[in-house]
Amino acid sequence: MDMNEHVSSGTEPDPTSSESHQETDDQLRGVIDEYMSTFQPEPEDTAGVRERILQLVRDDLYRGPSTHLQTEHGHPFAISTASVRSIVRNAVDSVDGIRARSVDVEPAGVPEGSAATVSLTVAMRAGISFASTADVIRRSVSAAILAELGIPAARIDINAEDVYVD
Amino acid sequence: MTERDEEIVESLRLADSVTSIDGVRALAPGLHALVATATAKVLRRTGGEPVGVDVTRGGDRVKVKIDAHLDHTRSVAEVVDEIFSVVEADIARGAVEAGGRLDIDLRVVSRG
Repeated sequence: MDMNEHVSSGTEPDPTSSESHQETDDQLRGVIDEYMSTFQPEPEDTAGVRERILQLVRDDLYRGPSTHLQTEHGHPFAISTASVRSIVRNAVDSVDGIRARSVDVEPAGVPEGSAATVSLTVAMRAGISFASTADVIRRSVSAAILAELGIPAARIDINAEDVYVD
Repeated sequence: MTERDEEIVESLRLADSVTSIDGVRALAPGLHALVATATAKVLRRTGGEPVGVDVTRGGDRVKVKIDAHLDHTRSVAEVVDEIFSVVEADIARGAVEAGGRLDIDLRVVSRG
Protein backbone atom coordinates (compact mmCIF):
# COMPACT_ATOMS: atom_id res chain seq x y z
CA MET A 1 0.00 0.00 0.00
CA ASP A 2 1.45 3.39 -1.01
CA MET A 3 1.06 6.19 1.50
CA ASN A 4 1.37 9.89 1.07
CA GLU A 5 1.05 12.91 3.32
CA HIS A 6 0.89 16.39 1.94
CA VAL A 7 -1.03 19.60 2.06
CA SER A 8 -3.78 20.55 -0.32
CA SER A 9 -6.62 18.55 -1.65
CA GLY A 10 -9.59 19.07 -3.82
CA THR A 11 -12.00 17.13 -5.85
CA GLU A 12 -12.56 17.58 -9.52
CA PRO A 13 -16.13 17.93 -10.72
CA ASP A 14 -17.31 14.78 -12.44
CA PRO A 15 -17.12 15.56 -16.18
CA THR A 16 -19.26 12.55 -17.06
CA SER A 17 -22.21 13.33 -14.78
CA SER A 18 -24.07 15.40 -17.44
CA GLU A 19 -23.32 12.67 -20.01
CA SER A 20 -24.62 9.95 -17.72
CA HIS A 21 -27.71 12.04 -16.90
CA GLN A 22 -28.34 12.41 -20.65
CA GLU A 23 -27.96 8.65 -21.12
CA THR A 24 -30.33 7.96 -18.24
CA ASP A 25 -32.81 10.51 -19.63
CA ASP A 26 -32.70 8.81 -23.04
CA GLN A 27 -33.27 5.43 -21.44
CA LEU A 28 -36.06 6.88 -19.32
CA ARG A 29 -37.82 8.42 -22.31
CA GLY A 30 -37.69 5.01 -24.00
CA VAL A 31 -39.29 3.33 -21.00
CA ILE A 32 -41.96 6.03 -20.76
CA ASP A 33 -42.82 5.72 -24.47
CA GLU A 34 -43.03 1.96 -24.13
CA TYR A 35 -45.23 2.19 -21.04
CA MET A 36 -47.53 4.83 -22.56
CA SER A 37 -48.03 2.63 -25.63
CA THR A 38 -49.76 0.03 -23.43
CA PHE A 39 -52.79 2.22 -22.77
CA GLN A 40 -54.58 5.23 -24.19
CA PRO A 41 -54.72 8.22 -21.85
CA GLU A 42 -57.63 10.64 -22.07
CA PRO A 43 -57.00 13.56 -24.47
CA GLU A 44 -57.01 16.07 -21.61
CA ASP A 45 -54.31 14.00 -19.85
CA THR A 46 -51.80 13.94 -22.71
CA ALA A 47 -50.62 17.54 -22.65
CA GLY A 48 -47.11 17.46 -21.24
CA VAL A 49 -47.74 14.09 -19.60
CA ARG A 50 -44.44 12.61 -20.72
CA GLU A 51 -42.48 15.55 -19.37
CA ARG A 52 -44.31 15.42 -16.04
CA ILE A 53 -43.61 11.68 -15.72
CA LEU A 54 -39.98 12.29 -16.68
CA GLN A 55 -39.57 14.92 -13.97
CA LEU A 56 -41.12 12.75 -11.25
CA VAL A 57 -38.88 9.80 -12.11
CA ARG A 58 -35.79 12.00 -12.37
CA ASP A 59 -36.41 13.27 -8.86
CA ASP A 60 -36.51 9.67 -7.63
CA LEU A 61 -33.70 8.38 -9.78
CA TYR A 62 -30.90 10.89 -9.35
CA ARG A 63 -29.64 9.92 -5.97
CA GLY A 64 -26.15 11.21 -6.47
CA PRO A 65 -22.93 9.83 -7.93
CA SER A 66 -21.79 6.21 -7.78
CA THR A 67 -18.38 4.63 -7.28
CA HIS A 68 -17.67 1.72 -9.61
CA LEU A 69 -15.84 -1.19 -8.00
CA GLN A 70 -15.31 -4.88 -8.63
CA THR A 71 -15.19 -7.91 -6.33
CA GLU A 72 -12.15 -10.20 -6.31
CA HIS A 73 -14.23 -12.62 -8.38
CA GLY A 74 -14.54 -10.01 -11.11
CA HIS A 75 -18.17 -8.99 -10.51
CA PRO A 76 -18.61 -5.26 -11.20
CA PHE A 77 -20.98 -3.15 -9.16
CA ALA A 78 -21.76 0.47 -8.47
CA ILE A 79 -22.24 1.75 -4.95
CA SER A 80 -23.51 5.17 -3.95
CA THR A 81 -20.47 7.34 -3.34
CA ALA A 82 -22.13 8.65 -0.18
CA SER A 83 -22.14 5.11 1.28
CA VAL A 84 -18.45 4.63 0.52
CA ARG A 85 -17.50 8.01 1.99
CA SER A 86 -19.50 7.20 5.09
CA ILE A 87 -17.46 4.02 5.69
CA VAL A 88 -14.19 5.97 5.44
CA ARG A 89 -15.48 8.90 7.49
CA ASN A 90 -16.54 6.62 10.35
CA ALA A 91 -13.14 4.91 10.33
CA VAL A 92 -11.32 8.26 10.48
CA ASP A 93 -13.56 9.69 13.20
CA SER A 94 -12.93 6.60 15.35
CA VAL A 95 -9.28 7.68 15.73
CA ASP A 96 -8.73 9.73 18.89
CA GLY A 97 -8.00 13.39 18.20
CA ILE A 98 -8.95 13.26 14.53
CA ARG A 99 -12.01 14.52 12.71
CA ALA A 100 -12.61 13.76 9.05
CA ARG A 101 -13.22 16.69 6.75
CA SER A 102 -13.37 15.85 3.04
CA VAL A 103 -13.29 12.23 1.85
CA ASP A 104 -12.76 11.04 -1.69
CA VAL A 105 -12.66 7.40 -2.82
CA GLU A 106 -11.72 6.46 -6.38
CA PRO A 107 -11.56 3.07 -8.09
CA ALA A 108 -8.01 1.76 -8.51
CA GLY A 109 -6.09 -1.45 -9.15
CA VAL A 110 -5.93 -3.79 -12.11
CA PRO A 111 -8.62 -4.33 -13.25
CA GLU A 112 -9.87 -0.90 -12.26
CA GLY A 113 -12.20 -1.03 -9.29
CA SER A 114 -10.58 -4.09 -7.72
CA ALA A 115 -9.01 -1.72 -5.17
CA ALA A 116 -9.66 1.81 -3.96
CA THR A 117 -7.62 4.99 -3.59
CA VAL A 118 -8.60 7.16 -0.66
CA SER A 119 -7.85 10.88 -0.34
CA LEU A 120 -8.93 12.60 2.82
CA THR A 121 -8.44 15.77 4.76
CA VAL A 122 -8.60 15.86 8.52
CA ALA A 123 -8.62 18.24 11.43
CA MET A 124 -6.40 17.18 14.30
CA ARG A 125 -6.44 18.07 17.97
CA ALA A 126 -3.64 20.36 19.10
CA GLY A 127 -0.68 18.47 20.54
CA ILE A 128 -1.13 15.30 18.55
CA SER A 129 1.81 13.85 16.63
CA PHE A 130 0.61 13.76 13.05
CA ALA A 131 3.14 11.19 11.81
CA SER A 132 2.17 8.48 14.30
CA THR A 133 -1.52 9.33 14.15
CA ALA A 134 -1.48 9.13 10.35
CA ASP A 135 -0.41 5.49 10.67
CA VAL A 136 -3.36 4.81 12.96
CA ILE A 137 -5.71 6.53 10.50
CA ARG A 138 -4.37 4.43 7.63
CA ARG A 139 -4.80 1.17 9.55
CA SER A 140 -8.33 2.14 10.57
CA VAL A 141 -9.37 3.17 7.05
CA SER A 142 -7.70 0.19 5.40
CA ALA A 143 -9.38 -2.27 7.80
CA ALA A 144 -12.79 -0.63 7.38
CA ILE A 145 -12.69 -0.65 3.59
CA LEU A 146 -11.66 -4.30 3.51
CA ALA A 147 -14.21 -5.40 6.12
CA GLU A 148 -17.18 -3.32 4.91
CA LEU A 149 -16.63 -3.21 1.17
CA GLY A 150 -14.53 -6.33 0.69
CA ILE A 151 -12.12 -4.28 -1.44
CA PRO A 152 -8.49 -3.47 -0.46
CA ALA A 153 -7.21 0.12 -0.19
CA ALA A 154 -4.34 0.60 -2.65
CA ARG A 155 -3.38 4.06 -1.46
CA ILE A 156 -4.43 6.39 1.34
CA ASP A 157 -3.50 10.08 1.09
CA ILE A 158 -3.99 12.15 4.21
CA ASN A 159 -3.95 15.94 4.37
CA ALA A 160 -4.05 17.77 7.69
CA GLU A 161 -5.77 21.06 7.04
CA ASP A 162 -6.77 22.29 10.47
CA VAL A 163 -5.98 22.06 14.16
CA TYR A 164 -8.63 22.25 16.85
CA VAL A 165 -8.52 22.69 20.60
CA ASP A 166 -10.89 20.62 22.77
CA MET B 1 -48.31 -12.83 -23.15
CA THR B 2 -46.26 -9.98 -24.63
CA GLU B 3 -42.48 -9.85 -24.39
CA ARG B 4 -42.78 -7.08 -21.82
CA ASP B 5 -45.16 -9.26 -19.73
CA GLU B 6 -42.57 -12.05 -19.80
CA GLU B 7 -39.88 -9.62 -18.69
CA ILE B 8 -42.07 -8.50 -15.77
CA VAL B 9 -42.65 -12.12 -14.69
CA GLU B 10 -38.90 -12.82 -14.90
CA SER B 11 -38.18 -9.62 -12.96
CA LEU B 12 -40.53 -10.73 -10.16
CA ARG B 13 -38.86 -14.17 -10.00
CA LEU B 14 -35.40 -12.67 -9.78
CA ALA B 15 -36.53 -10.08 -7.22
CA ASP B 16 -37.74 -12.95 -4.98
CA SER B 17 -34.39 -14.74 -5.29
CA VAL B 18 -32.28 -11.65 -4.68
CA THR B 19 -34.21 -10.42 -1.64
CA SER B 20 -33.73 -13.83 0.02
CA ILE B 21 -29.93 -13.30 0.08
CA ASP B 22 -28.44 -12.56 3.51
CA GLY B 23 -27.26 -8.98 3.56
CA VAL B 24 -29.89 -7.67 1.12
CA ARG B 25 -32.24 -5.46 3.10
CA ALA B 26 -34.54 -4.40 0.25
CA LEU B 27 -34.63 -3.61 -3.44
CA ALA B 28 -35.23 -0.14 -4.82
CA PRO B 29 -37.90 0.11 -7.53
CA GLY B 30 -36.59 -0.46 -11.02
CA LEU B 31 -36.96 2.03 -13.85
CA HIS B 32 -40.19 0.52 -15.15
CA ALA B 33 -41.69 0.55 -11.68
CA LEU B 34 -40.70 4.19 -11.19
CA VAL B 35 -42.31 5.09 -14.52
CA ALA B 36 -45.47 3.17 -13.62
CA THR B 37 -45.71 4.92 -10.24
CA ALA B 38 -45.02 8.36 -11.72
CA THR B 39 -47.54 7.74 -14.53
CA ALA B 40 -50.12 6.72 -11.96
CA LYS B 41 -49.54 9.97 -10.05
CA VAL B 42 -49.74 12.08 -13.21
CA LEU B 43 -52.78 10.29 -14.66
CA ARG B 44 -54.38 9.45 -11.31
CA ARG B 45 -54.49 5.69 -11.94
CA THR B 46 -53.30 2.64 -9.99
CA GLY B 47 -49.61 1.99 -10.59
CA GLY B 48 -49.33 -1.75 -10.15
CA GLU B 49 -46.80 -3.69 -8.09
CA PRO B 50 -43.31 -2.21 -7.81
CA VAL B 51 -40.58 -4.64 -8.81
CA GLY B 52 -37.02 -4.31 -7.57
CA VAL B 53 -35.40 -6.02 -10.56
CA ASP B 54 -35.63 -4.94 -14.20
CA VAL B 55 -35.13 -7.63 -16.83
CA THR B 56 -34.97 -6.24 -20.37
CA ARG B 57 -33.92 -7.66 -23.68
CA GLY B 58 -32.25 -5.79 -26.50
CA GLY B 59 -30.42 -7.18 -29.48
CA ASP B 60 -28.44 -10.21 -28.44
CA ARG B 61 -28.34 -9.58 -24.71
CA VAL B 62 -30.37 -9.88 -21.55
CA LYS B 63 -29.90 -7.02 -19.11
CA VAL B 64 -30.71 -7.46 -15.44
CA LYS B 65 -30.75 -4.18 -13.50
CA ILE B 66 -30.83 -4.33 -9.71
CA ASP B 67 -30.80 -1.48 -7.19
CA ALA B 68 -30.30 -2.94 -3.73
CA HIS B 69 -30.25 -1.67 -0.17
CA LEU B 70 -27.84 -3.73 1.92
CA ASP B 71 -27.36 -4.14 5.65
CA HIS B 72 -24.16 -4.37 7.69
CA THR B 73 -24.09 -8.12 8.24
CA ARG B 74 -21.74 -8.94 5.35
CA SER B 75 -19.19 -7.10 3.26
CA VAL B 76 -20.56 -5.51 0.09
CA ALA B 77 -18.34 -7.65 -2.15
CA GLU B 78 -19.58 -10.85 -0.52
CA VAL B 79 -23.23 -9.90 -1.11
CA VAL B 80 -22.49 -8.79 -4.68
CA ASP B 81 -20.85 -12.13 -5.46
CA GLU B 82 -23.86 -13.98 -4.11
CA ILE B 83 -26.30 -11.81 -6.10
CA PHE B 84 -24.40 -12.64 -9.28
CA SER B 85 -24.45 -16.37 -8.39
CA VAL B 86 -28.17 -16.33 -7.68
CA VAL B 87 -29.03 -14.51 -10.91
CA GLU B 88 -26.82 -16.83 -12.97
CA ALA B 89 -28.32 -19.88 -11.25
CA ASP B 90 -31.88 -18.63 -11.93
CA ILE B 91 -31.01 -18.24 -15.58
CA ALA B 92 -29.44 -21.70 -15.68
CA ARG B 93 -32.60 -23.28 -14.26
CA GLY B 94 -34.86 -21.38 -16.64
CA ALA B 95 -36.48 -18.82 -14.32
CA VAL B 96 -35.26 -16.26 -16.82
CA GLU B 97 -35.07 -17.19 -20.46
CA ALA B 98 -31.47 -17.25 -21.52
CA GLY B 99 -30.66 -15.58 -24.81
CA GLY B 100 -27.33 -14.04 -25.69
CA ARG B 101 -25.01 -12.20 -23.35
CA LEU B 102 -26.06 -11.58 -19.78
CA ASP B 103 -25.36 -8.11 -18.36
CA ILE B 104 -25.95 -7.61 -14.66
CA ASP B 105 -26.10 -3.93 -13.73
CA LEU B 106 -25.99 -3.84 -9.95
CA ARG B 107 -26.07 -0.71 -7.83
CA VAL B 108 -25.85 -0.63 -4.06
CA VAL B 109 -28.09 2.28 -3.15
CA SER B 110 -27.42 2.28 0.56
CA ARG B 111 -25.91 0.23 3.34
CA GLY B 112 -27.27 0.42 6.81
